[in-house]
Amino acid sequence: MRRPPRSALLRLMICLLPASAAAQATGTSHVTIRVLPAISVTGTSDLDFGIIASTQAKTVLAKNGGRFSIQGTASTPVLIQFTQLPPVLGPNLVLSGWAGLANTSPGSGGATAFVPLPGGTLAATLTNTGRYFLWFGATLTASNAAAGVYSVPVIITVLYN
Amino acid sequence: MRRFALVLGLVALTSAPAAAQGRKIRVDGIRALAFGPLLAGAPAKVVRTDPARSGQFDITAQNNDLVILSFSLPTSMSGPAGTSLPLTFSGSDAGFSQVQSIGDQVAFDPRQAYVATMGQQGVSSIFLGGTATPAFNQPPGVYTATITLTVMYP
Repeated sequence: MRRPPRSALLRLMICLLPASAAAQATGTSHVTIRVLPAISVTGTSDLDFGIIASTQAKTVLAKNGGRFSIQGTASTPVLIQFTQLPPVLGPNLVLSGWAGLANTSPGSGGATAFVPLPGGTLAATLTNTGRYFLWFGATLTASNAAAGVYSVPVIITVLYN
Repeated sequence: MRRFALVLGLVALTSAPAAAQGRKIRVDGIRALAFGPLLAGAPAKVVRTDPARSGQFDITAQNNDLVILSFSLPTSMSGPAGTSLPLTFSGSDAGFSQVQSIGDQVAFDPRQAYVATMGQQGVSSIFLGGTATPAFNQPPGVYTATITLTVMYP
């Protein structure tokens, strides 16, 4: 009887060995992240009380007051912090009765009124173009104030929420 | 006769791996590792114990058997207009749970192969965390990458 060549035995072994390599499995998943653009907040109008007497009270309505424009990621919730609503404009010049309007469109018509409190917050959702608008009004009470020009910043901080 | 015995011996040696092939083994990607929204310049870390944002794979294999887990991990994610965002994994960012519980994990280094023992049910889970480090000038947008887990019998 003719014996099988040694190479045939090796081929047989190689044919059978790869079976072990099939005893494995692979699965995939994904990693995702969404990088948001920075939020920009711009003061587009000042809260201007104009000219007043040294002793006088004057109120500027929010719709005629200071205006902020917010730009961020579309349709994203944000938290607006009233970081600084100053209590005074200068010596003997008291600011009080802060009032606010919020809107998703650039005009104050149809805006929602709110009462901003120093250090308080307002939750909002940016529009589908990433916009939001705020107006601020207040009452200035001058009591024998010295003549001059007075200015103090109003600061808001906007965070993704 | 001596040569016939030699042939039988070869068959006996090579039939053991064939038996291994009969053992069930399967990997399913269950949940993506999701960093969610973040700001450019602000690194974000997802821990493997985060039930909502950690990645999860389920493994089906022979009950109580040893398996070797091996990740293929990306070093970055691809984003808009070909931009990339660095992604890193640390030595304890992966966890193995015999009982598929995010609260019952054994930490391991996903950058190295890891030998685990399957549970009695034959289905276990792998949880994965990681760290994304967007640059300060990282373009806004969605970034993604693929994570591959290979499981095999020793």
